Amino acid sequence: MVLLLLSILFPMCFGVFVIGRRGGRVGALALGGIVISLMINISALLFARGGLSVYVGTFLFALALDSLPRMLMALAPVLFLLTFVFLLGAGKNDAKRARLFGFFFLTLGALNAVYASANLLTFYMFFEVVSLLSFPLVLHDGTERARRAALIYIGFSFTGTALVLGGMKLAGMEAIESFTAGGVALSEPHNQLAFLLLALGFGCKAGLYPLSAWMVPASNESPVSVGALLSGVVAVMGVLGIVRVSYQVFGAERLSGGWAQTVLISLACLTALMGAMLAYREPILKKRLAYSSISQLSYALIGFLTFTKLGFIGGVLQVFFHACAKSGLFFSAGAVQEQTGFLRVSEMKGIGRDMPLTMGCFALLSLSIVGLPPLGGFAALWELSRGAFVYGGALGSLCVAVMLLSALLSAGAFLPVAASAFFPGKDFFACVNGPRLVGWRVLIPILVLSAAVLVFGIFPGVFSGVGERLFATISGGMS
Amino acid sequence: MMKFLMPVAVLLPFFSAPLFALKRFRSIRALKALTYTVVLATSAMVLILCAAYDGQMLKLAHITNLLTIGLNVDGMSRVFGCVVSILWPITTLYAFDYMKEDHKKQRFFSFFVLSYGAAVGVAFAGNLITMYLFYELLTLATLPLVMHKMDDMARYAGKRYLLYSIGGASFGFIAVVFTANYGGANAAFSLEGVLDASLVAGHEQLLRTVFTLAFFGFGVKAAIMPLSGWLPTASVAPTPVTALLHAVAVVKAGAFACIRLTYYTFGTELLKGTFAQFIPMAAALFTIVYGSARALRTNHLKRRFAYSTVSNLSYILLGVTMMSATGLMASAQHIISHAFVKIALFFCVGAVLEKEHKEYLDEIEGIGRRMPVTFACFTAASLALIGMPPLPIFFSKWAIGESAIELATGWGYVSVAALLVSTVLTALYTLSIVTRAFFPLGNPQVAVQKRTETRSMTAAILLVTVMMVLLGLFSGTIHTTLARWLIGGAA
Repeated sequence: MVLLLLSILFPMCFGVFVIGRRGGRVGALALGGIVISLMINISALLFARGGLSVYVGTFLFALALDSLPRMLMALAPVLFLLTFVFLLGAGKNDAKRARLFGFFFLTLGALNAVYASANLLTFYMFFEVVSLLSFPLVLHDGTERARRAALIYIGFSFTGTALVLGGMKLAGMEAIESFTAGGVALSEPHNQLAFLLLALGFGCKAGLYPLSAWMVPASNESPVSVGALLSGVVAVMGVLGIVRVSYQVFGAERLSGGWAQTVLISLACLTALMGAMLAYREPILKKRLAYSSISQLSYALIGFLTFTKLGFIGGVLQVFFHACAKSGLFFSAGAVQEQTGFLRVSEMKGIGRDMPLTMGCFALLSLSIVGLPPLGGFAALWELSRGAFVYGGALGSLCVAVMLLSALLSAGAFLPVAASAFFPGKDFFACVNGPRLVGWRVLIPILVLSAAVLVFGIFPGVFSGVGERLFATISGGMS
Repeated sequence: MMKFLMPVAVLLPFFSAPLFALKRFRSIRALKALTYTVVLATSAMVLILCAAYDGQMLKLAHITNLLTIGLNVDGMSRVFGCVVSILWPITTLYAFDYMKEDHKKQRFFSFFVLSYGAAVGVAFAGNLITMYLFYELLTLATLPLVMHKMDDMARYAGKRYLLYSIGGASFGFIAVVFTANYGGANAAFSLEGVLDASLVAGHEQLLRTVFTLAFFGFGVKAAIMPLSGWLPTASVAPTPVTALLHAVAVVKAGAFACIRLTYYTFGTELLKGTFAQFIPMAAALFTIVYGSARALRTNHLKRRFAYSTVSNLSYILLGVTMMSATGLMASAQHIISHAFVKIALFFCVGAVLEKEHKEYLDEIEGIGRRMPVTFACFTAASLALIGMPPLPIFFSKWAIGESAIELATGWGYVSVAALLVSTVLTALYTLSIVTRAFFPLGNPQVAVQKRTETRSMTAAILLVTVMMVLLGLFSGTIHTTLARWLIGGAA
């Protein structure tokens, strides 16, 4: 219990401490802090027993670790660590770095609290806290546009949480008391509607249409490190919310075949397709990446919402590999921007000669997003399609078709970028071998993430095993 | 003994008011001493009465043989009495700092104390006619406070306030007349209503119409649409007035009067399921969304929170129109939680106005550095207003939503939807202020900026914020206490 509290409070306190710091050593300090935080998280996963629960009136607030968020709790600080390494190389001229690091830490603390929440009410509360604490990250650049994007972000976040609140009210008090494997039998008559509202509300963070419009401006107007965080961790928190609600509150078995499931899967299909199409025709690289996140996360949602074992495994794989690939892509885009100032895809011809490693990784990571073997994205896509077939029916086939079509569109969106970076064509003769503006450290996270996508893509068994065990524990005995 | 404490508590502020008016104070210290003595003594008496009074009506006087003036402390009186008696001394602390450079302090504080008496009178009124009396007195006592500055704006605001309030109360008076004829305006308030069933029989529609008129009449003070126009205008008053009277005492007296009218006079039996329930409910629903939307569009900070108050008062009225035990409980809970949250917000905005002379949203870029404590409290109170658990408004909003769902008709779901829409708007209109205060555009200046907070103002702000947080953490206790006070235990 102490470790669990420490995993929440340490990053929070450290964050407040960092915000107040001035001077150049902030980066090293933050790096030290995140390593400690990672170690606390891991020891909490290994040794934490029991939990903490407080009644406020009839409302129960509870923290305890169950099996579902363990993987996230171990991996989220790793992504933060990589982000910080990236920030050591890029963004040195940022006068407000201390603030950026500080709010990263605060967000991490709140995220740990979300992972450790043992009932829906607590989850909801910390979910809001994450939205609030990541809000300053989005408006970090301090421009009028960034502020606008941040207000859009927070407006959508609160629309999402309002829907969650409405869903919780409809589901009644039993629903918010605890997360139970297989769900609880609820006495309220509006289970389907309540589930729909809750899933839409959490889906706001996961980029599920119709509440996905915040993602693109928020990723575009903020530093790339924040964009990576939004796609890799914050959006995943929304997915976690949907999984929690469907498997551990209502119960997958009870929801299976209901109209809410059909509506949600259809929405996820729509989102996947729309996101991919919008990504395809978007000229600005960061926006293109954000649209693609919307699309890719919907794959994972489709997987989880089919309520099949294969779909669940596919969802787990997709969440992991997408987080790796997309953060890596954001970092590469950030490195390019820092070095050349280019934002538009059309400007990026020939930069492969200047930044071969960065753009090489960019190519590899985009291939994973597209879903080519032997990269991670393929493993995920494979399991997801199998899950969709098990789900069956016209909608199941539609899911498979949508995923394949979106994969094609992703290929159209990202592969030409990589191709023209290395092969700009005959009429290209600019030589941009200027001084290196971007530090070599930015390469570390990009390389690590590419390696992860490659290695775990060849051996996806680690994560599919995790997914299988998780499904067995939380579904309450479904096959 | 207790019985006679009641009139003393109500009348002490009234009788001390001439002292303020007649004596010429040499120093601010003497004025302070007198104000604090009266306010603290009244608060102490009110709290003792709330804790220990047994609920027997004390008849003070008869006006003709139909009407009795009487005082009583029942459950609802306790709710309103406690809120008022806790917040009045804190506002006094704030007001002395705020009014430091004002030349008409003496007048201000005499009416400030006088309105305290009127508010306690409204709380402790034992029947409808007594409440009506104190209600009118409250209007008159607070009018000079609204017009305090005596410039054109203030006079206009005062006139408007008077017109709306007196006009509204006259509709309330219709209800007084009818209850006198159909049972008893002098009968002590009781939860089943005071109308005589044998007299009512055959005249139900008439009485429901009267109720609806009177609900809007008293609803004027609670700023229900379309009668809310006076409240945003009245925010020209000095901030202690805006904070205490236009977020707590006066406006909640309006909501309180609506509760008295609905639950304790007409009785929910007569009204439930008829147009007398749905017309007020529709108005409240509209006001909830309208108030929040206008708040978002208003750039003047005090007016923005005035609109926010308009919206939140209708949360209370929505609870009232549920016409069920849970609805009554929910609105009482929201009266308490909103009082503390909104007074904290107004104190902060007032501090900005007084110390920095900034009134508009776009003037406060980066102000959080100069007033860190104030804006930390402001942020906490904003989160509370949005409805973050475990801060108090989450629980009262939840209770209102729950009683709406209990209604089990389309109205219930529309109500929940309105609450949720308003939540989103609330997040936007509060957080856009926090954003500007703490995250100014461009690169913040590195130079250390001088703090502009002062001690006693900040102390008052901190005090209400801490109380607000505690209120959230102990909302369970509050809920059971309310259940004991209002509906005899079973919750």
